[in-house]
Amino acid sequence: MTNVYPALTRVALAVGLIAGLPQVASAQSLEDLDRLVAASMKPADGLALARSQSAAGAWLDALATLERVLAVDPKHKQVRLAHAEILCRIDDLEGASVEFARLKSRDYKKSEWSAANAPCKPVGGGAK
Amino acid sequence: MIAPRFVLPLAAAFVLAAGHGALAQNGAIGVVSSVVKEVKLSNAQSPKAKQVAVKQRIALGDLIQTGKASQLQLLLLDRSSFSIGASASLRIDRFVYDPARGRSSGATVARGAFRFMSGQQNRANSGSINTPVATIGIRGTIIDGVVGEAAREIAKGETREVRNAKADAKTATLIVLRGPGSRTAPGADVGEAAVASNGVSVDLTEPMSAVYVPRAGSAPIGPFRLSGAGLAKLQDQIFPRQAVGGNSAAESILGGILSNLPGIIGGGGSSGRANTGTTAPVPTNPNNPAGKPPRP
Repeated sequence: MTNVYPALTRVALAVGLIAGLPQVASAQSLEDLDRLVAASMKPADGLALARSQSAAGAWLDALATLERVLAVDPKHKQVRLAHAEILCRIDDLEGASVEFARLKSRDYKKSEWSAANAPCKPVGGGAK
Repeated sequence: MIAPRFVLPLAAAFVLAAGHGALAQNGAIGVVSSVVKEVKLSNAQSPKAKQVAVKQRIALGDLIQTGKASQLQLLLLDRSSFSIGASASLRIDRFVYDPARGRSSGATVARGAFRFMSGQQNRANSGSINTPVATIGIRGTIIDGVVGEAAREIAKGETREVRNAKADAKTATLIVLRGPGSRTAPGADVGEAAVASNGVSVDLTEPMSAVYVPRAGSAPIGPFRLSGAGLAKLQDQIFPRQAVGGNSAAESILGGILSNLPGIIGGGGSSGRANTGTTAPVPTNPNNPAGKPPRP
């Protein structure tokens, strides 16, 4: 599988994992759900949680996390890009294409944009 | 009628629940995880609807209704999520969950747009969503749907058979399977669903395969491939905050952006695959030529 996130992000993810995100990511009680909600109140926290969930293969959990963040901050560029990328990863290519169409590549670093589009290939190369 | 492969897991879940006790048959079954604007809850004990707050507990039988430009996400104990858009109505009717054995759930969406995403992956998981005119059996899935006038509006842009169907503005139901598809990354089960009405059941096994039930007493129309424009409109119904806060998906489609994509979906978004003038069969997946879920 292609590495999704740049090296610095992976380091941050590892730190997050050590700090306890896995416990949050595997909720099985109401209190665990509360922690999931609390961990997605801010975009940066929500992105970190979604990345830990993605790393564990919990793709639908990650999508739900990002959708909570977008309810608060619907214009957040990194969250929207991550959401589109995960749709590609679960083979919802058309859903991803709708979301990529809402984004502008110039709003992102070239490496970010390429990494997010990578899971959509070889069917396509993402949006302009 | 629900397809047989949905019936056995559902029955098994009930048997398990009877033998071992369900963790959440009574009391809270989930929490409110996101609220945008007006979202109210009522139940038999508190018939007067009250605004809900994030982290509020949800119990069986609670009726949740959203106002204009409003939306809600619920997280259930098995980490399934339910999102509803504006002017929607949702009630969780059944939730039987044992972390070791799986989950069986049932919900009713009387109106509005919704997304259901399965939680912890477990092949024993099953669930159903009722609308006024259809029953959707679900497993390991992201399902999007819409009930009412918005369904009818979206249908107008789809295949001839769909757009020409005589539809009821209050109950018309459009359902689309979003995934995970057969080429999903490891960790997610391939999604599948069955939509039943008037004694006829239609299986959905590929992302973007859709079914339309235009009115009570009508058999499901489909499966057909929902157009990119139709999907964009549906997403804007489920997540109106994103439609307002960013470029709405529908606007993007209308602006022709999607059609300029360099082929992310093999020809670009709303490439006309669905608008062929007849009910187009869902294209065959090269990894799944029989069109069957890749489960044993």
